[in-house]
Amino acid sequence: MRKSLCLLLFLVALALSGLPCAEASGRNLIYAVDKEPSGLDPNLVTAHASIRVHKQIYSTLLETNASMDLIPDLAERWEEGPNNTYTFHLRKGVKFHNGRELTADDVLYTYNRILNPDVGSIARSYFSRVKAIEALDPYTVKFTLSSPDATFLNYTASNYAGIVPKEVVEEHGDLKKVTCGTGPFRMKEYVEGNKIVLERNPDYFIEGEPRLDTLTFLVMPDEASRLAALRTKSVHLAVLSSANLPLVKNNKDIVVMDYLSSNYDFLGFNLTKKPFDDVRVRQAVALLIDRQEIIDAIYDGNAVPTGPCPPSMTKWAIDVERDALYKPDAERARKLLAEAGYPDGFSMEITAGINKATTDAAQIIQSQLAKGNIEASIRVLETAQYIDAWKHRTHDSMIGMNGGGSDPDRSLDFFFTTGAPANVWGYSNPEVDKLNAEGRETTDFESRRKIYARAQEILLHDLPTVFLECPKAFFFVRKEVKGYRAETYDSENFVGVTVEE
Amino acid sequence: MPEGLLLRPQRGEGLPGRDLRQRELRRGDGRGVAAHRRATAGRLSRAGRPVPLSGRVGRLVFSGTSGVGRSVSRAKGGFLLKLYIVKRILMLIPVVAAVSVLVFFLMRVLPGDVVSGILGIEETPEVRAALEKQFGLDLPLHRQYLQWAGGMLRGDFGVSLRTGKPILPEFLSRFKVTFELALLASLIAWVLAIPLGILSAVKRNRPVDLLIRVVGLIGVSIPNFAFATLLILGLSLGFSYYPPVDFVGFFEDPLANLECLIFPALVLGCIMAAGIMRMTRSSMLEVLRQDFIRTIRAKGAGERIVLLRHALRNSLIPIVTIAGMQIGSLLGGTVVTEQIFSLPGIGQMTLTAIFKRDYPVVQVNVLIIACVYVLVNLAVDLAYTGIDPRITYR
Repeated sequence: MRKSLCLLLFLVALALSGLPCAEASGRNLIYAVDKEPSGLDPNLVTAHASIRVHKQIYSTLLETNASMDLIPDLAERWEEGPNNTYTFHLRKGVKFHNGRELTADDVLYTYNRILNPDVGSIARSYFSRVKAIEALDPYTVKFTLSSPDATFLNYTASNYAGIVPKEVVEEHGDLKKVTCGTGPFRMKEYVEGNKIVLERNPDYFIEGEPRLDTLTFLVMPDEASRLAALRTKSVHLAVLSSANLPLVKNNKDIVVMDYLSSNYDFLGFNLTKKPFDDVRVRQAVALLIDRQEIIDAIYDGNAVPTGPCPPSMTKWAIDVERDALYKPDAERARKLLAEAGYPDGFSMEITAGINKATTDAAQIIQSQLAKGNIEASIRVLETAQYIDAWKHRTHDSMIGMNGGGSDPDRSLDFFFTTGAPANVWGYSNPEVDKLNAEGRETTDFESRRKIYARAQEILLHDLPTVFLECPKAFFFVRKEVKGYRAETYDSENFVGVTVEE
Repeated sequence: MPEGLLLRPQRGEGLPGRDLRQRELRRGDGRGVAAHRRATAGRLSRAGRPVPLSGRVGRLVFSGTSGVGRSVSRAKGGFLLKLYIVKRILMLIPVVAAVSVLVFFLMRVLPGDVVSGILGIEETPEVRAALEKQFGLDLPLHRQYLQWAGGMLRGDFGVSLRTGKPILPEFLSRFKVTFELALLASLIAWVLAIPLGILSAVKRNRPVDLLIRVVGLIGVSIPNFAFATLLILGLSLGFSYYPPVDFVGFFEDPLANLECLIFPALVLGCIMAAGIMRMTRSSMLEVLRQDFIRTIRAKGAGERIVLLRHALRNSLIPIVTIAGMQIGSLLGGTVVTEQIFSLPGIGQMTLTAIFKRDYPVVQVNVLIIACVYVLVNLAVDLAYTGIDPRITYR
């Protein structure tokens, strides 16, 4: 009976496999994503799961290309004027998805919305130096800043600064329930927990783009399922971890694209607690950690050691591999510990979130620290608790992943200036504060680069956190997909992408 | 198990221990399965009398009541039944009130909050203050509770703090998926489990019994994520098949809907089946050992009649109890299976809401699921009267 049942099941499977509807086809691209967006208001949401969808719907004034240069988006050109002014000249004839033409008033409205403290936009701090915004004519906007700000242009390309139409926001209160932008795709269908179908915006301002008729984001939380669906051509594109690389090595239908992520892993200390207030202890911990071992064991070699600016920020990152503290040296570590008054080591706790890579890394670090008689225990917390722990500084040390961003101001000022929002370590060094402030005000690239290089060197010595490694990220793409690019600052851009059968 | 569900003792039934058994029955609220099983199985076996069934054997031997008496008691029973249902539904009110208080304050006690969940490391004090004001989290806790509970009473289920979308429509659209899945899984489970359980009991200690028991043991032990993942791997590698990624509703296209649900239902159904099958086997074995079965056999009834009409029916109470509880927990959402098969059910919705501390979503979901659980239990209790006429309601 059991046998015939098995046979029946497989026959059903076989019969179903013949059904045509399971296959993706035509110029319709299906992208399997791990998480559902938590809302699509471009000025309000922060999760990557949201950004990858709403960046197809909304456009920004400028954009960043793969090599981190600013390129036109809604503004076809821009110029820097005297007294910290910036003038943007908008493209003419750009239409919102509701058919109305975009004008300078919409830019004004959007930036005033971001700057309104009651709205709660996280981009507000990006534009804290904006003093005045005026529309000179329907296609020209002038921003006046209170002081020089090298980050300003870069932040106008931020995903949080998508331009929104005034009347739609005012009608609905926000853009949580509706979407209306000027981007290449517009909303067609949203099935909660299942999929988001975007369709081609026929009025998109780049002629002939987008080439896809529909772009579907399919929510598939399970990694094995995403791979299985990719294999059977149920989806065209999926984000998968390096653990799946060997599984598709011989599969000619699947192309693996990789790029260095803008995120990096860190082990950060609570500098307000003993013994981590002593720089020698932090340096000793850094000397006990062998990054290569972590990279090989957790990422199968698909990661590189990092400093405060991840190596994917090619223009800004300093070469960390020559740094003496990046070469494991247990003997020197023990000596430093003895000098700091801990000849017999000490015990500490490593707090980790539910990210598998970092919890695994914590275990490797645990064994590495034992060489310096440091007895580490690991505490794994779910995300909300993890954020709570770091906000209230109840941790000894935390392992986690930080986003370096696309501007060094974000990588350095945001995390390491005294009292900065993400300075959860309690780190304070007046010299770093001064450099970060200077860096923000210096608009000349070369001088700015030198300032941030100096700040990074100080951080590598002070080690409020041990900067571990910057992993590669992977897109697994069906061979039918053409024109897709996997680049740190240009991924998930579906302009120019098509599907060929 | 309900308040007031009592076993009416039959003439000649051994009374010592009756109170104890009643207490166990009253207490069987989902936690005391084993106790309940012992109570019911033991009661049926020790009662020394079979259920007065219609049909030749039952009427001939055991019918003690006249036809008139029976119809009078049936009319009275109908009234009692209605009263009982009303009472049980009224009992939902304190349950809902208690659950609402519990879930509201428990969520607030947990470390972390919704604002951190939304902002993550992007949080700054001013953005936090703005969001807390928007969400009404700056009010004292008791006022937050009253505001929310008041809204619920007016039929306003609120919006998700994370997505800004109304909760009820999303819950309902997802509950449909979970409901279908639970139904299909239960169907598969029953179709598999009951015949196999009977076969296993009849062929006790023979190779086929051994085989079924081993398979059942594997079914009970295997975690559903392992089974589901293996099934997906097997289908995709062996048959180049993957269940449809686009979920289609039953009323849009029943066949496509079945295709979406059949494999996850198979996973849940097989695992459920293992439990029901084991219960069927042990319950059948108990009943088959009883005197009345021997009597029925002695009277020359065919084996089919003995097994299906008498033994199975008398074994059903513990089986229905366990099946009811399984359906109840399935309706609460099956996070792992939903996740692996990418189904938009309520398990996934509730889990994300808990992780992100999306208070109103968790509160509404838990409250509705609690109600559903109570109603499923009520349905199971009502099914008892159908199975065993000696059970009446007070």
